[in-house]
Amino acid sequence: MKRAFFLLPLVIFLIIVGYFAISLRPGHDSHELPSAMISQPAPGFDLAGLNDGKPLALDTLKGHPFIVNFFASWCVPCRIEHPLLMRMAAQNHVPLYGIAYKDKPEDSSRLLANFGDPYRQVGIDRDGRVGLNFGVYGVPETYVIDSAGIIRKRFVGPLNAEVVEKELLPLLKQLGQS
Amino acid sequence: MKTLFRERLLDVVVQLFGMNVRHILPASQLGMGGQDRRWAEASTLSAEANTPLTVMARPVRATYALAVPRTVARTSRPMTIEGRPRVRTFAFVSLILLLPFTVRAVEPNERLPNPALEARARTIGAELRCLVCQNESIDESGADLAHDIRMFVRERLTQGDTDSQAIQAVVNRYGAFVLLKPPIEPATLVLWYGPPLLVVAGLIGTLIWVRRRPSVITEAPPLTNEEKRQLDGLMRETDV
Repeated sequence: MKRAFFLLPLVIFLIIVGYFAISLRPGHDSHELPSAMISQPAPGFDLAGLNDGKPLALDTLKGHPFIVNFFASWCVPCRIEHPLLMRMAAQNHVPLYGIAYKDKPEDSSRLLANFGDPYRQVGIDRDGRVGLNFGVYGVPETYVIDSAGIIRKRFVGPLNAEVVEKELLPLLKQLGQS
Repeated sequence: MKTLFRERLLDVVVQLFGMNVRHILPASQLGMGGQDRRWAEASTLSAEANTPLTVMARPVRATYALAVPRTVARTSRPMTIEGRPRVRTFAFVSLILLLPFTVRAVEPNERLPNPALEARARTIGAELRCLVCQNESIDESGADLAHDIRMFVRERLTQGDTDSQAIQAVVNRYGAFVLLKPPIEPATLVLWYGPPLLVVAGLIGTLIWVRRRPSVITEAPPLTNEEKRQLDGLMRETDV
């Protein structure tokens, strides 16, 4: 009994090591925040379309699972993921919708004209209120929303091929089947 | 005591601003014995006031010579009381400058016309975390997102939300992480009660340790005859 008592510091040390091992594991960003919106209904929105396109409204998107990508022309990481979005739209026919977050419409248009437009529709969120309702704290952020309009997954920061292959596409497929 | 405090304070001021700000104090209020201080010659604060004062300068002679006209710097006169009110104002202003003001990022155009609502918005803003900087409140942060959340809170308050409703609206969007003071819930129990528990455990441990320790004061065995003889010998030696 007495001997076991002296092992206590070691036990505490191992617990702390375990804690650090979990939060510092490779591929895990400790600054990335969990979304409070997972499994919650997506906040409603009805945004003016870019380039006089159709307005982007949540209600018209429901019925099929889809992806909403918050982007901006001033956002550097968005450029990193842009080619991937193009590929997702072209090869996988992912229902991808864009929301131009706190961006001048003309700048968004120029961005899509220069680098290609992967989105089926783009809504203008000039003051960032829709972003705020989604809990966006930086662009890009990508949300997977099911046919009932429930947010299933959020990706913070630029998507990469691995995440898309292993997480995003399988989730979308699964949501499409159910 | 009061004088000493003032001295210390002025030391800090001098360290911070150097000769750019000249700190002027009556000599009577300054301790002249300090080794690391060098007191410059007496000087006048301004010509029109004509109140001789002591200038406390950093030990950089060249800078000092530039800062104070030679004629003035060389005049040495005893202290007079007249300088005090000004000196006090100056010391007071310096003191104010030293206060660690919290920098507020709330911009004038964000403020609500209703002061009561604005005050409530400030209270809420101080409690909400800016998610971009993560260690600043939204009131302190200059980040764009902080601005948006400040405006959002004000909008909710204007629409008649209570404080807790407005906070809850932000929490619904960004999660409990936005609260700088985390709520007490199962996941945060260790956070809240861990430290006090550690203190209590430490106290209990100390108590057990103290209790178990053998008592220091024990009856000393009586001296043997041999020891008595030695002691007597020693006593006689010291008596000499």
